[in-house]
Amino acid sequence: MTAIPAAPAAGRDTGGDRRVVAFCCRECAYAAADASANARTSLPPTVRLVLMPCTGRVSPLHLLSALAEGADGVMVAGCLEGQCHYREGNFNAIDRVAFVQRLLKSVGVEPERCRMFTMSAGEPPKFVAAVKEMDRVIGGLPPLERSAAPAATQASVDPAGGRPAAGSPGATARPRAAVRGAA
Amino acid sequence: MPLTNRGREILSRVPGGTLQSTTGVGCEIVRHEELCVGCGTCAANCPSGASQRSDTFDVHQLLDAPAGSRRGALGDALRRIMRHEPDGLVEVPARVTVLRTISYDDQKCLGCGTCARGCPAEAIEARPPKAGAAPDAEMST
Repeated sequence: MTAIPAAPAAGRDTGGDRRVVAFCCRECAYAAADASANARTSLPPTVRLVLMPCTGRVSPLHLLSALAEGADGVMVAGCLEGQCHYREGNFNAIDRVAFVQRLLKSVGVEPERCRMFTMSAGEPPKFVAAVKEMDRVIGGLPPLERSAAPAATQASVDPAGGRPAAGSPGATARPRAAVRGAA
Repeated sequence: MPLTNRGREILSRVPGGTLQSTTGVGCEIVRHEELCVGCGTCAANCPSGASQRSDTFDVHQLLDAPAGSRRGALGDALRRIMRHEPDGLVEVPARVTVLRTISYDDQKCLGCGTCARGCPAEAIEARPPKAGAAPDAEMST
């Protein structure tokens, strides 16, 4: 994953260095963002929109990777509860966001850095308000410090289904047939 | 199959003694939590209910997971932003199914090794009881 570029310099407030990544559902939040752009409503320059087919596609790995790779906050914007186009994708997203918040809290990171918003496609003002709210909250938090990426991260993704390679740390040879020998 | 001392001790806890002829009872189950992927196969296969999906998750399982696995990728991301070591267990919401720690109750376990046979991540080891715990002569037939 490449680093998230800093906000482009503009004549007005660029929001400093902070970056907010918004994972938006194609059916509602992204449509709301589209409509707000057509209405020439300006969003905070800190936000980056990521189009998702449904918020149910957002996994904890998306949220945590975004934070680790340079985002100061992540928001998930999906359909109203009960109005998911894939029936219950947004309920999955709500629980995953809650889980990531608890993960962050347990390691000493502010849980407000990850939030879920719901809106319908016909509510561009609600989308803009959610983004501004997220930007305001993140702006009030101390910067998120990151340690260097582990060198092995990029190279060690093995194509054979995510199982650890034989030589990788943590993978030790283990007799699978031990129990059969006992039986 | 002769019963070992451990197997006899386990069977004494089973009501009714219906497992008298079961082979392999008494294996020592060793769980390697860092390799666990949380699929719950062991809990689904367990005949005695010793392995169960719990409602909590131990964050150390992410940090200790081998590099290249899905949990390892999560752990790498978490390690880069964490400010201190994770404190305690995390409550898991209902719809998060895979990121759960499997609870294992040694007192309920029969040592049959079904979990180890079914584990897709090879995270469970069923060790035959040590030679020191070998059965005595009268019980060995």
